[in-house]
Amino acid sequence: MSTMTPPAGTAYPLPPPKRRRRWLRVTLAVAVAGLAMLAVLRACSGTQPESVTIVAAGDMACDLTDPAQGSELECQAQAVSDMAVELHPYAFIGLGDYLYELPTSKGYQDVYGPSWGRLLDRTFPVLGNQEYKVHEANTFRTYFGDRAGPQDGYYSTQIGQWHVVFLNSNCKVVTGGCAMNSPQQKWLAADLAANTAQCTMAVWHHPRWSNGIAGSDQRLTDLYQTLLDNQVDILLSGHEADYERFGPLAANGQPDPAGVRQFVVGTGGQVTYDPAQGDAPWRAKAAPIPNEFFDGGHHGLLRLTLNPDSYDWQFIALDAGVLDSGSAPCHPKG
Amino acid sequence: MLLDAPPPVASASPPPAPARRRPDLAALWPAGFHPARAYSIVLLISTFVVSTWFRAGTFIATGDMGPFLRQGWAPGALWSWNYQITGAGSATNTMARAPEFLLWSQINNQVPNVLTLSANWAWYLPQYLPFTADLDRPFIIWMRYLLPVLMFAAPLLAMPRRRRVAMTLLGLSGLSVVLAKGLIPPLSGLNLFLYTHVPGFWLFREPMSKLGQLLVLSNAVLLAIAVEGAIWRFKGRKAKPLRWPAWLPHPSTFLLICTALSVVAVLAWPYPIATGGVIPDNRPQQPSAHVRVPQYWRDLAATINADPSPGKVLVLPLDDYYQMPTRWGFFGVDSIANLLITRGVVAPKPDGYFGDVPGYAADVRAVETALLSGDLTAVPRLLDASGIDKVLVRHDLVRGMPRRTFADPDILAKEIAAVPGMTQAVSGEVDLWKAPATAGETVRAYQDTITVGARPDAAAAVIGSVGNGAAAMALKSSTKSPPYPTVDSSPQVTLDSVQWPVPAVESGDPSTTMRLLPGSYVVAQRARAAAVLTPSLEGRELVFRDSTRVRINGEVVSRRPALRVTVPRNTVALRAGSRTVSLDGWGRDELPGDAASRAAVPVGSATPLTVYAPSQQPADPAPPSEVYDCNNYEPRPAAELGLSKTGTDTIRLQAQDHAACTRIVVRDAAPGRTYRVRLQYRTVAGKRPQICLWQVRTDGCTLAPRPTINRGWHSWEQIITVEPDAESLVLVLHADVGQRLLGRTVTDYRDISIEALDPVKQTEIFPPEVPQREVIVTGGDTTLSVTGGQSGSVLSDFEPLQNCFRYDDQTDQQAGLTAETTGDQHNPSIVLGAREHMACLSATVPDMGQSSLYQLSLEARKVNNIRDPKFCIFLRGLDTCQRLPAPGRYTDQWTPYQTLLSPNPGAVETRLYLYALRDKEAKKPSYVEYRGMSLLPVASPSTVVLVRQPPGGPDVMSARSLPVESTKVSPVQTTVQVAAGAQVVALTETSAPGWSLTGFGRAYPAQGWMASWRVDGQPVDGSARYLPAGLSRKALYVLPVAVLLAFAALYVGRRWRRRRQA
Repeated sequence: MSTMTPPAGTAYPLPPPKRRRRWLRVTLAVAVAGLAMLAVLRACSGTQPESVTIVAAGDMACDLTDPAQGSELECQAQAVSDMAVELHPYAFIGLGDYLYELPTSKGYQDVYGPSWGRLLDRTFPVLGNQEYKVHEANTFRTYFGDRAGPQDGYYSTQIGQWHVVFLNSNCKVVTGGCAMNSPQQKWLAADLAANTAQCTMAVWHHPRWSNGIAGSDQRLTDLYQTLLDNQVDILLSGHEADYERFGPLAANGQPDPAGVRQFVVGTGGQVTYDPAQGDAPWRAKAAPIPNEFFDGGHHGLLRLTLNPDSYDWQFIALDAGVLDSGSAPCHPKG
Repeated sequence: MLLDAPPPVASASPPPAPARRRPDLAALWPAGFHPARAYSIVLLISTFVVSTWFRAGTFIATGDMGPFLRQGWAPGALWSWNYQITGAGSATNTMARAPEFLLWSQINNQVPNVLTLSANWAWYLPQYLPFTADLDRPFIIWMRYLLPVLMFAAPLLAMPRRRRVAMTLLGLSGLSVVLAKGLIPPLSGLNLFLYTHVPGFWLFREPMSKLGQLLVLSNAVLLAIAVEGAIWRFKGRKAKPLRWPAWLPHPSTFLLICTALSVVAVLAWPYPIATGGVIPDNRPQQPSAHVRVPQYWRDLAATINADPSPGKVLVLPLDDYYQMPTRWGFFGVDSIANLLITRGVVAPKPDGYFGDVPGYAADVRAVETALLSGDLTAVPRLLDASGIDKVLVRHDLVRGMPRRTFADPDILAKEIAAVPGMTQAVSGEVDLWKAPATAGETVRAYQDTITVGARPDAAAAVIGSVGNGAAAMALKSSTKSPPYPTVDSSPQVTLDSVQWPVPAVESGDPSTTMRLLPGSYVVAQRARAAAVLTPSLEGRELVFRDSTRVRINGEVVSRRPALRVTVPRNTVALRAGSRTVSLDGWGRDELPGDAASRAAVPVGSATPLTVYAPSQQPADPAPPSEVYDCNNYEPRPAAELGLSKTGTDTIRLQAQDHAACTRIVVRDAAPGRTYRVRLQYRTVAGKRPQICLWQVRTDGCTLAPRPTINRGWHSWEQIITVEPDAESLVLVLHADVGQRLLGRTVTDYRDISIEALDPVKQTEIFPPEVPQREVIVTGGDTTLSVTGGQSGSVLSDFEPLQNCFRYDDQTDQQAGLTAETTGDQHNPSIVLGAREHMACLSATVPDMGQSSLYQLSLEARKVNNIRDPKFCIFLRGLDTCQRLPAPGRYTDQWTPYQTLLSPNPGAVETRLYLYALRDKEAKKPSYVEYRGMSLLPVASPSTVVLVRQPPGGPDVMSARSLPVESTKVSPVQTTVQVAAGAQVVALTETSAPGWSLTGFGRAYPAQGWMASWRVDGQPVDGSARYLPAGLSRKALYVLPVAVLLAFAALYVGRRWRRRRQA
């Protein structure tokens, strides 16, 4: 063993001090430059514009065989999507039910694709109930590809300076349902708790509040409560064949400045309904939910401008222009 | 990094200044210590951590491994060789069933995974290995490749004197890798050859769990050699010293730091083991793996182990699968009793590695069947024949799990208490019952023999029908089992006995004709399942009658007495076990098969009986409501839905979209109230009718059979008790379209009645035993028959083609689904086709449960040789397919399939599905064909047994009485002394062939399993020896001798080398 050990301090002569210092300086400079580049790249990659304009709509395309194809009142996906394309939105938020009656691949290709599909590269879709008419919403996932989100349909992202959570309101399908302590609810609570953005928006298909034919969806009570607990500003939904805007509402459906403002935008082109007496049987048992605007007679889309600390909205109806507009600040956080 | 400077010479260089000197940590190590030896420390630490975790973690751990080795493995090793070459563990038998089994356990055994020690079948299953996702993170996944890299580098880096060792170890590792990858390519053919031809090689079915240990050891040594060699080479380059950067520590110190970091890396990689996260307390949908055997098991084992009686211990209920769920948290291989009890433990483990000797398995199964069926006479005789004198009835199992069907221990306990001669020794979570001590005798002398048929159940049935003084000697079977499941109901006839499992028949009564010797015969019926009794009300008595009669040449020779229960005169319905029947026979005339006995109920041991009479407070159903939409899946105006309800006597519901529904609220419904709901329905157009009994505030509709979509009127009856949490009861009738643009759905309902019933009597009933009797048979051609039993298939007509797996948006036509039916409507031949998705046809069993035993029969074939046929007995409520024997190999020729099955009490509907699987390449339809589908109730769930009383010979009903002297010298040798008079001497040690008795040669099986010798009245004084034991013992000595020889060779070789060097 002793033969393997060199005499201490003698076997490895050190280089001259000058060369050592130069070597050290070069090494340090390269390291600092590399770190700086990494920091710049990281900062650039996450940069989002201050304010962005997005559009949102749900319930869009008719079945290929729908006898209403070509009528002036129904199946207007092409016309409504023309409006959306002309707005050059930063993002399009799909509120579900992209294709009726059975969401076939051919339907996506022939009906949805030429209309709303033109915004595919900026679409953020949530799952509606129509999508699940095909096993595990396979055609939806095939068409939207990576933009379809994870299998269970809930995820979050940043749009502009806003934090946006996309949820799956198909509570019978999504693993564990929608109730408190379900996997989705726990994920939502954790995601929102970690959120540092000033403004937050949630998106799901079935409206928690609605004065339309289907009425309010009670299954979403716990998810809505989670939004309230985390001071979410806006909730976007579809499903109903109408446009409806609510003021900030508390968990009991009553106005509350600290509540969540919900938009129902099921006017993407398939059909619109202005509920008549008897169309909405739930009304016999419950009082209407206090809303701020309702329109059941026009196809159209919601245009949202997401500012760092506020938002502006416009409901732009087909052949009727802006029917509803306004702006509101985000909830103060902290 | 090397300088061209000449090698420094210590004496030529000036001593360095103290300030320039860097610390050399190597100086801190003791002299002679080498950094590579740190790996030894790693190994020790890992061993300590793992063993500690095992000790604290699970019962199958270090602490219990000792007893396991002592009690289980050591004696078992003696029999292992014999078992491997003769029993179910032989390579041929194993591989006949095992390739799929092997493949799933080797699914991750690709060579890279084996090399990186991550080849585990559960690697991607977080419920088993929840830590693997962490280990697969990109941040640390590279770490696993360090080991193989260094391992392969070892021969290159090794010091010259270690090179040969390194090469040898690398070769050993390579061999281990090839074996450990199993059937995964490459060289999968070689491994398959080994599995198929090398006895015992199947034990490497999950090879990494065994060979992985060898790999770890050889890799660790290779690693040490590589590190040692690298350091040696690094330091050895004195001729070309390094230009060493000044900011780095001294090279020696640097080496030590690198070594330390490597040690840390090796420790960090398996950190979940160190943290205990390998098996967490909470596993998704799995019980905790951190369990301990409860003290009551240990106490019970101590009690049994202290008992001097040599008999075996039977554990009831019999496992339905080798893994059993316990209430104390353990859910795994059910070896608790085997591990703790130091004597033969009879606890068969279905689907486990070790099969049963067929004769012994039949005896043991017959014990449990007899207990569950109330056939108590047979129990002590079967226990005696099985060498069992202690029975454990364990209550610590979790019942009611999906697809688990082991017997109810409470029923077993109740019934075993009624078995003559059984006494209870311990009561608690596990009961201990003792049979008469004679049942456990190791050596016994039988004064009589009875030849029985070759089929294992023949011996069991005869044993249960005669006294324990007679030994059943089975004929050798000359027939080979067919390569598909079949039900052999042929009579087993010998000169001494007849055993006839009563078959299922399409119509009429089953009968068979045989030649019998004239004389006196004992006639008995042995239970195969619960008795099938038909209830009827006679005054104030509810009488349960078994309608079957056993006849010889037309004369009734055996029948079951009636069971009578006193009930109110106005009794209208009853619930026996899980089956509810009305006594008025309403709606039964339209059922398929033999309608005469449709109201029959299976009555086994301790069957709970509830008797219903019309309630004092009649039901108060509201009139049917107006039509409403009960499937509002998409908001649409009422005008577009086309919902309507018309008619009063017959209600017609129609819907264009969504669902037209009407509801009938039972206004007086309250928790605990019972109602009988009856109606008739028919499909007029569109989709399947739906009937929902909705208990408000509970979870959806009450589980009930689905209405059929077949045309015509159908009756529907349910007796329902309102649940404690329910607020009210609502009957909802549907016409459900469920999708726009599909056309109308129209459904009719009529004769709707809702009656309130009160339970007027609740008790437990036991089936009356069929008494044995002696009859005189004239001999010659004799006809044995059973009359009055059920017959005819209970399957309904098949419903129209369905799509059973629509995974994309193609319609049935686009997916190439077809169904072509030819032949009789009630006995069709069906060709199913599917290019994609899955075509299926189904036929329901409208009243499953009127018998306790059914025979499923069909034939199937591949039409164009693309995919195999597939079928399922679907159990609605449990929502799973019934476990059935695997079918035979399908070709384009017909492959039959027959099996017996019992109704599952948890199912609300039983339905036979036939499938056509898709073409995997989705190019052309795969066609399969089915025919001969039937589900026949057996005419009687009994086996008819006739045993001849030999003229002038001993009574077959007599007890064993001849004295025996024996001493167990060792597990493989017992001395035997028997006085003259015995016909057969038998040894209950083991079923293994190879026993020999002094003067009487090799043994052959008696009672289906035990080693026995026909002594024909001669006295016996000798030893029974297990002949292969000597060979086995010698084989066991090979290993230690080989190890000693290896050490000696090493020592001699070393000395020889030293001398040569000197």
